[in-house]
Amino acid sequence: MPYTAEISRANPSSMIFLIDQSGSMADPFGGEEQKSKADILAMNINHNLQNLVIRCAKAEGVRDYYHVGVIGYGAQVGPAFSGALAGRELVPLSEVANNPARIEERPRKVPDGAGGLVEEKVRFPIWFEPVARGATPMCEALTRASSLVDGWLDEHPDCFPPIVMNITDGEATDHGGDVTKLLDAAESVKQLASSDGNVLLFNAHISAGAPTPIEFPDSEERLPNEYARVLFRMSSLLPPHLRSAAEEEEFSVSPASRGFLFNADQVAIIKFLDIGTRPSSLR
Amino acid sequence: MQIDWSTFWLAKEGNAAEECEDALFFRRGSQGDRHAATFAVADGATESMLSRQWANVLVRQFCRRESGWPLIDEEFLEQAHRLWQRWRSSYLRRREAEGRSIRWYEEEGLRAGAFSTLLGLTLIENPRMWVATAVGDSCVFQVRRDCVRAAFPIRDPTEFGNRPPLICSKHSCREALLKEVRHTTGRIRPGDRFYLATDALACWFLQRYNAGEEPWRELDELGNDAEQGRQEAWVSELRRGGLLRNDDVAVFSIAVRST
Repeated sequence: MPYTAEISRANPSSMIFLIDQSGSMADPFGGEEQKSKADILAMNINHNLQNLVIRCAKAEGVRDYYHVGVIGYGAQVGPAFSGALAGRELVPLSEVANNPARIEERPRKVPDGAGGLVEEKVRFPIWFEPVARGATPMCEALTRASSLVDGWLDEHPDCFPPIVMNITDGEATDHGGDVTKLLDAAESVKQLASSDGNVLLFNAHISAGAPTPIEFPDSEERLPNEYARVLFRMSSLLPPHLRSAAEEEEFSVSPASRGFLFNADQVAIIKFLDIGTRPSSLR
Repeated sequence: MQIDWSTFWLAKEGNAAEECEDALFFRRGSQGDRHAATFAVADGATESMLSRQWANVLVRQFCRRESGWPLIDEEFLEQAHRLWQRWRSSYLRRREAEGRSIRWYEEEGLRAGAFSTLLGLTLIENPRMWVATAVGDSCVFQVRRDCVRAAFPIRDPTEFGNRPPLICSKHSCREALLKEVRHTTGRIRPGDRFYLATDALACWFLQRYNAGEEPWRELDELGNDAEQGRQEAWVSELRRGGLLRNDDVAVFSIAVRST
């Protein structure tokens, strides 16, 4: 059965985030949100990586169940890690954990065990700062991801299939108006496979203006425009364990649901990233 | 009561032995003790920090109880939590003293606490009976005349999942936890056999029994710690054949020779 390979240090999997860093990401995020889309996206990716590290952490170390890549696309296309990880394409999780660009200390109230709350300082790692500059070379980003995953699969042919998560606020600008180029670039990712199944490509579109979100659709029927329909076709079906994870997060899904959000709000993006990085078996 | 027993444990394939998060302990009662023998197994949760150490605290503390009804109860949890707090404080002080400060990614896990299952079996001298108490999916099976007479707390192998109830090392979780405790009792006869196992092997045991086999015979043939090589080979073969999930393994095999 596909998507059942055990994820372990001997047989790690990988996750690749494609993050839109185009100029329009400087616009405010949907509705009343004052922060920009770039702010929200950076915050969510940092938060998601933090959770993934914590999930794989044991005393005095982080187990390399995953290797992580983040490709930014805007004025240029390339690895988005900075600091000690600058230029690195796929990084073992332990190195991600030990090399944030900076660590912030923030106060947080926690139960004191006697019915009250006490304030304590909590450390938050930051790997990515918001970036919003340039066009939207999504085809190039997908092609770059395909090459990265292809190389990974050569070394890990039996891994749990890598997951590529693309978060964008707008249409690609590097396909010359020909959407088949974009669909082909997506297909170059999805047609790659390990012995446990095809690589998964999920897409999330974030929007200013708070229109109606569409979450994990199973057909093109309710999609409002051609752009949404293209992103839908680019997206992989949710495998069973991620469908269950989506149901746990109170999304309505069916066996035909794809890993796709359109007009996603901040809460949906957080859940989307969490679902996409939910391990199937780290027991 | 004359009791023979053997035991073995193995880490999940791909993990070092010291990374095994299953724990076992045993205490034999002295002459005149009401508890003839107490056995305990525990399975520390993979996704929690320091779960191996917590599992060890639980099995040791459970077996140390010499009087009273041998259950996972308020008193037992109070003692275990106290012991854990002392160990945890000492651990954190040692880390600081040795220049190995707590990293940012350890903070959340330390705050959340450690988690583990626990299964305790006590063989009582007078009257001749056994008592089992459990939180989670580590199991005990009683076999009499080639038949599984009791399977506790799980009887159906399909019930093993990834989210069993667990004992948390934080005392604030105690009230909710007590609702998850289960216990059962039974009589002991000469010739009875008991098998305690953490979930992967317990699931294998029930699957084989439901298929009409006698899985206890394979466990009886495996011997004790001194024959580690044979046990590793047996477990590896089961894992390769897809008959045993790749997870830590811990098992006691107990035979009551006479009463």
